[in-house]
Amino acid sequence: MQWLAFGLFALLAVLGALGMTTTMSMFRSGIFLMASFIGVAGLFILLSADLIGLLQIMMYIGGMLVMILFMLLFSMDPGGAMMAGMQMSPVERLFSRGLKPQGENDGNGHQGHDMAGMGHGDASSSADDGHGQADAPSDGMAGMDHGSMKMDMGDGNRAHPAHHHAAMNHAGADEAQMTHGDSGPEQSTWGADHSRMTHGEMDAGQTQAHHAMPHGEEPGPVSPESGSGQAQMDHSSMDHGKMDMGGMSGMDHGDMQMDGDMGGMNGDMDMGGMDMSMVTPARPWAAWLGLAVTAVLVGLLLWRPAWPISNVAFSTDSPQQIGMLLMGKYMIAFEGAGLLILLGIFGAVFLQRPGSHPSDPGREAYVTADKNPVPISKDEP
Amino acid sequence: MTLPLSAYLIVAALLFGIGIYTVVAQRSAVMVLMGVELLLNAIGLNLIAFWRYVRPDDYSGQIFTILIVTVGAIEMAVGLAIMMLLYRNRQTQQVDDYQELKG
Amino acid sequence: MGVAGIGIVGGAFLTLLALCVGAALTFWLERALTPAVGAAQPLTLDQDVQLGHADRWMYPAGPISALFGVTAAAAVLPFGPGLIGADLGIGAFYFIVVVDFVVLGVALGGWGAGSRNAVESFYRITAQLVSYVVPLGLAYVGALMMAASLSTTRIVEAQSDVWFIVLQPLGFILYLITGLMQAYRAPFYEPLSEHIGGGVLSAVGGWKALLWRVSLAGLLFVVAAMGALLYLGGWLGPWLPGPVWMLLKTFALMALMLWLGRRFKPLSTAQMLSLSWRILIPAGLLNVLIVGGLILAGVGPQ
Repeated sequence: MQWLAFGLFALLAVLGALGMTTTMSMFRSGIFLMASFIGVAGLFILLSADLIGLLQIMMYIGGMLVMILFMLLFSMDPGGAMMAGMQMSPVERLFSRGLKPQGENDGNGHQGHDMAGMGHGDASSSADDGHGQADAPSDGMAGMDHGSMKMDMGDGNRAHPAHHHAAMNHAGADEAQMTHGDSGPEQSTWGADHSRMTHGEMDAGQTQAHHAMPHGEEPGPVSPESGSGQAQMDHSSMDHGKMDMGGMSGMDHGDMQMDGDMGGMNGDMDMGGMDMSMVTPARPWAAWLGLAVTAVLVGLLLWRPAWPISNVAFSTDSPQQIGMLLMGKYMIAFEGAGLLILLGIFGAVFLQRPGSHPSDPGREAYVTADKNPVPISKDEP
Repeated sequence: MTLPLSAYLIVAALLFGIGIYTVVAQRSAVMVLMGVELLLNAIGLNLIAFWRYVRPDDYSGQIFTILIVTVGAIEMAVGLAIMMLLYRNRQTQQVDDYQELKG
Repeated sequence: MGVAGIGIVGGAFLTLLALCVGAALTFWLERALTPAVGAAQPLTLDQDVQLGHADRWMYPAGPISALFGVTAAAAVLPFGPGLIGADLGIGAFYFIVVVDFVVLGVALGGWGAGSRNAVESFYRITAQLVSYVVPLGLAYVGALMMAASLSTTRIVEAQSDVWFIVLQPLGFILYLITGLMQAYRAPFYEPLSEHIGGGVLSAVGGWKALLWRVSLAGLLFVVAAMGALLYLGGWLGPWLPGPVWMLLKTFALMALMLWLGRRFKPLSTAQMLSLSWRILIPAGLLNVLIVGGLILAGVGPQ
């Protein structure tokens, strides 16, 4: 019973966090983070710290909703609709499922994602052969990722039925690409050098993009002139592919590789060469960093597994205990926190004063808008 | 009490790793803030777990977690305010575009 | 396991029963008293609304989340001595927290529906959450200070001599206003106003519409019940058995809130925010001060 509850909440917490960082939709990432916090709050309650758990839920439901609101205000694409058609790593696709790309590209990227899997069984099977051992260590989500990899391969192979390693054949002249292709089947360590490899491939993005153009089955507005823009896109989608390593504990890199390859072909969204990705180029090593930190923490845990567990009976009336401590022993800290909150409120209000930025070119507009608020015209019946 | 302490600690470690990744890899300032929140949460989970298993009679662990949650809220408020300010000035929320802020 | 299992099942049953009774009462009262929330639309229970841009997961998650919040909130409402879903030590705080799930539900459903009015509804309800949550907490604090407990049953028991409404009328008025805000009723129904077509209610049909209706009606009920037990003495009363008193008080409070709400013209979210910060929060702080003084002076339950 306890294990069940723990598993549920822990899963909610970790999956929520994972979803938060990988989904393309900012709204969803806020919701995912909220789910993660609720999971952590559940763990708190399981640890009989019920007051803190509830406090957590209360703070973060309100806080997250406001944060989401801010994201909607700021972001160009809060719903992730633009990103949804782009090449994503499987984790991202999993958490961004159901987002519809809008505009002329509608159905374009999606069609590739959704349909390609079935019509191209041969392609996917070959992908299995090529990268079988990378896929082998599965941790529950492998099936999902595997399926998406098939889709990617199918997508590529729709344009090139003859070639399985589509991108490799595209930019066959490029040596970075060659290395990449070679390393696919046999390398077993997939260490940091892999990321370098993918970056080499990224450099090849330009050529790759040009190669992709005539073969691309996407009827989107593709033109050779936009090669650089595509290289850019390629880059970001490569990062997407890379992401997978961190998120899924580095389990199926063959999949990532495929994504990276396909990026050159599929990345012809109409973004005008803008790098719209939600992530920085530092993403691969960020993923490794996160993974390394986790590994170090777990390693420390294994190194010193035995903590002095005490079974002292304790009062379950946590509000009273906490109140006593806050008003007694931790008075200063409590006051300090209160002061901090006050400072935070005043700081935020101060920063938001409309007249405090004389250099802002758009300030006049803001000030006028603040002075003469537009009546909520839609409210009129 | 069949659950080992390590179970909670592993969950916290996972959350921490994901948080680190988010802070480094995400491009939007709001997402970076979210990553920081996640980090704070992982720390809080660790604190509570240790409180429960090691010193359940001393409520100081919970006090510390309350303070952490408070600091998280303040961080969110001030962070969002600063972000809004930057957004007004730069019309962007991507942290890469704030390079000029370097000293 | 046996006793605990019976306890859990009994508590869940009690909670659901209370919620059903409350929702039915609210429906009836609303039809009798006031053009209700989103009453512009007929109840389209028989056909589902087809949406072009609906999010497959978030859209149905909205009403479920809202109903979960209301049901979980109903669990800590005592209808008599021992007649409670779950007597938590931190019941009142728990109540505030889980009612927030309704806001989350509107956010999820509103955004997930992907239609203009529904998203507008999400914006407005978030703004409304920000404006009501602090004064609402202050309205609770007065009663909690007097009862010296967060448990709902203890709060009621602390009022066996005198109801808290007598000792802190300011707190009661504050609770009326913030309760209306929390229940999204008459002057504060901006998130679900008919000017935006009922907001999130415009984008639902079928079982989701039913869930929305039940959870919004249940929301008013649980808010009024909480008010009854915070300030009106809960199940306490002469002659009649406890549950009847509790229902009567809740019912009266609901009627009062709905009637009072119709006296005022609807406020926009901006007006709500300014009302909250300019009037309600200072009033709440004043109430806390007064209650502190009363406790120091020895008035109220000892």
